[in-house]
Amino acid sequence: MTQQDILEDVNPTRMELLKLKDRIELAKKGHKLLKEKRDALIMEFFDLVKKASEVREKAIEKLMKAYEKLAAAKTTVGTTGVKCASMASAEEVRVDIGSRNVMGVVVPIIERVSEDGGTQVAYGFADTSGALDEAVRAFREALDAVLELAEIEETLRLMAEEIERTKRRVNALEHIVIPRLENTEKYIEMKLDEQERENFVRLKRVKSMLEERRAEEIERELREAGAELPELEK
Amino acid sequence: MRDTPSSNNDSLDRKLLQEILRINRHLPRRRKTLAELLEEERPHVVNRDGTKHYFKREELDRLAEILPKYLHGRLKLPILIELGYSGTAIVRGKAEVRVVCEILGEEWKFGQERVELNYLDVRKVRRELPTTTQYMFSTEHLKRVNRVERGR
Repeated sequence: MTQQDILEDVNPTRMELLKLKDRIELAKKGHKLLKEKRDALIMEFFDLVKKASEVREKAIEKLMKAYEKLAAAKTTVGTTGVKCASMASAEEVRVDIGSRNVMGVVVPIIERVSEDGGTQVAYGFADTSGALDEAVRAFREALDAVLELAEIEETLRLMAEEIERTKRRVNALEHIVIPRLENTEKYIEMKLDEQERENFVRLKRVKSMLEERRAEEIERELREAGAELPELEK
Repeated sequence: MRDTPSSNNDSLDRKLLQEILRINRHLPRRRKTLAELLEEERPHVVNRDGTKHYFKREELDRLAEILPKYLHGRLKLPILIELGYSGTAIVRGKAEVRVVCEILGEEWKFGQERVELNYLDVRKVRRELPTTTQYMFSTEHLKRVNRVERGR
C-alpha cells in the first residue's frame, strides 16, 4: 500500500474509522445501484436500437412511396403544376416538443400538431389531379414517420452519452474510490493497532517502574524500622 | 490554493458519493393521478431536478381504457418501477399493479399491492408505456449511511 492509495489528511482516529466504514458501505451500495442503472440504460438502449431500425425502414418506405406518387402527380399535372400547387399552400408543420426523463436523461418527445386532421387542401381542384392529392397525403404520412425517427435517434444519442458516463462512474468506484477507501481503512486500523501496542508497552513499563519504586519504599521503611534485610541482587 | 493530485482524488470520491445520493433526482416532486392528467392540455409532471416529464396522450387514453373509472383518481403517474433488488423490480400500489398485470397479460388479485417483475417483464412494460412509467432506485438501505455523509 503506497501513500498514493489512501486518502490524504486523514486522522487515524476511531471516529474517522467509523465515518470511513460508513463511506465504504455507501460507496459499495452506490456502486451496486449505478450498475443497476447502467444495466437498465443498456436494456432501454437496445430496445430503442431495435425500434429505430424498424422506424427507419418505415420512414424510408413511406418516403419512397411519397416520391413515387409525386412523380405520378408530375406526369399528370406537370412539374409547373405541382410547383404552383405547392406555392398555393401556406401550410406550416407545427410540432409539439416535450420531454421525458429516463433515469436522469432528458429525452425529447416530438409530436406533430395538426389542427384540421391533415385533410385541408390549399390548392384548387381545377388544374390539379387526384394523383397530387395522394402525393400530398403520402408526404404527410412520411413526415410523421420522419418525426418519430428524429425523436428516437436523438434519444439514442443522449442515452449513449449517459451510458458512457455511468460506465465511467461505475469503473471509477470499482477501481479507484472503493479500493482507496478500503486502503485508508486498513491504514487507520494499522495505525490504531500500532498506537494500542505502544500504549500497552508504555503501560507495562510504567507499571514495572511503579512496582520498583514501591518495593524501594517498603525496603527503606523496613530499614528505618531497624529490620536487617539481606542485600538483593538487582 | 493549488489542487494536488490527492485533493483531486478526494473531490472525485465526494462527487461520486454525491452522485449516488442524487440518483433519484429524476423522479417527480409530486405524482399526478390519471384523472388529473386526462384533464390537462399538455399532461406533465415536474421532476425534482426541475425538468418536466410529459406524457403521451395515447398512453393516458390506453390507461383510461384499461382501468375502470373509479380507479382513475387512484392511479398515480408515472408508475414507478423500483430497481435495486438484484435482478427483480417491484411495482407498488393497487391501481399500478393492476395496470402492469393487464399489460403483461397476467392475473391480478383484488387488493394486491405489489408485484415483482423480472427484466423481461420490465422491458415489456417500458416498451408499452415509455412515458407513463419511470425507473426508481431503491435507496432504503442507503438511509442509515447517509447520516454521516450529510454531517460532513
